[in-house]
Amino acid sequence: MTMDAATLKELGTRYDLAGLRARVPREPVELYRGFDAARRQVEGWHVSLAETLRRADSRPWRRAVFDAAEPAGMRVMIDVIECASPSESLDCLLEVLAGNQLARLEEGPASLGFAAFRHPDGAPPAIFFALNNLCVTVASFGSRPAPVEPWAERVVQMLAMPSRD
Amino acid sequence: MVTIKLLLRGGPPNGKLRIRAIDAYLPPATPGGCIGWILSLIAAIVHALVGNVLGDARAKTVQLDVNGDSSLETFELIHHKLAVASVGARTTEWVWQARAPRLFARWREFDRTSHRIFTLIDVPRGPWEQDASFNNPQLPWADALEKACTWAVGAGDADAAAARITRAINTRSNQSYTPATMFGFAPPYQLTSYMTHLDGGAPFVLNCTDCANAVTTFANLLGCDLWEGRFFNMVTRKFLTLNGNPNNAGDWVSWSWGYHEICWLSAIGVTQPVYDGCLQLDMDDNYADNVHVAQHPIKMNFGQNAPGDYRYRLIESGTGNLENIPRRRTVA
Repeated sequence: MTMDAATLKELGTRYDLAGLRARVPREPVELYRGFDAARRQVEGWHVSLAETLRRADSRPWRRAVFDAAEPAGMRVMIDVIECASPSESLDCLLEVLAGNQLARLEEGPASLGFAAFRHPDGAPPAIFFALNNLCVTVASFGSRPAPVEPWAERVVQMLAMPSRD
Repeated sequence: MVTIKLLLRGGPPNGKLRIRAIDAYLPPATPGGCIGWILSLIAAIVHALVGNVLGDARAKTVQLDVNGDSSLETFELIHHKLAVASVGARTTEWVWQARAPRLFARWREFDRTSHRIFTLIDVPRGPWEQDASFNNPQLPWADALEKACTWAVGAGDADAAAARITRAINTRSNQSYTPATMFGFAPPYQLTSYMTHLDGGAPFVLNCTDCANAVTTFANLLGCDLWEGRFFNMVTRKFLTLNGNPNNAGDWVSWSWGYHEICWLSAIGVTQPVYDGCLQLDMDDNYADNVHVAQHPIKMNFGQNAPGDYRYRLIESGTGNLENIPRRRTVA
């Protein structure tokens, strides 16, 4: 956990941290390794940028940006932080929530993972979830809003399929 | 005295030479008359703004070894403009010359070198460091210096530099706002990624933490003394969104925020001046109408409820309580 105590305390005023920790799966789960959304092809979209970002805790952090063929300016960013366990992926998700200005995010679909949150209507679309050992952000990244929930579901499906690379 | 150090290689074995470097700039050939005079003036101005700031390297005698190499030699810079140069990125091109160390020997060119020089207000402050050991990634980055010096070109003091950086971050044409940080809340600040997206030209989004990181990181690279710091729980008045057009009513927005992060001069406190690269405030006193007067929050007093206070102009309701944790996130 790279978040300082003061930030964690402040986050506790916005979210039920104990309740979130209680959702962490206790039974063994599949641990995903090396997933990179940029290696996947999605019809009507192309990967415009693939980055590996550096974290203080050295967890792999891969970013892929997909641009829509039409309309211009519609982009989706997918961040995947790979952790050692579901408990750590929740820590990462809390860090992501700490860096969100909105007072509180809405709960996201349970199908995405054991904890999921999303921006409310009116904000640029974004969804954040912890799935097994991964902390995932899917955000509308361009000048036109892009639907992020289908993309989040797509990421979950990608994880279930082996890469062709 | 300003000096440089260099090694010379490939000279005559056991030789002794007078060595110097002079500005390689030659005024362009111009036609005569008024047009020629104007072109000469323009060329001189361009050279003064972006050309040689290091002057020349004073001639000195250098002893070469059996391989024709020198030891690490110190050369004094003469005619330099470092003491009076404002913020900028300049290129010095030197012609290196040598001659025998006797009277009336002729100077002969043996090399040309080009040097990108960034002139700053002061030594870079945190998150930047000066410790050159262990490939320290917090040493000032050349590509970040290029951007900071371009955005703040001509700034003669820290206030002007911070102001120009704040305006630049706020008005990059391919940016727009989202409430979620895209370049890291927990250190390190993903500066490489941010610059990649800036340079790529395609639209991208970022939030207040990202903007505060950018303003602090680039301004402090020039020698400013900014810190990032948050305040909490507010419903804002209408403000001009990141990279917004003041004449577009849809770009004047209000948000309910759990926190907002900005830059503070020297320390966090109600009486401290602040900089905010994420938005422009509405300085029009009537918040009920659609008349807006956009102003970059640059060295504004955070304050309370005075009309000139940043807090008054941003927060419509809510506590806006300060978190006294000044941050300068390391860069990656």
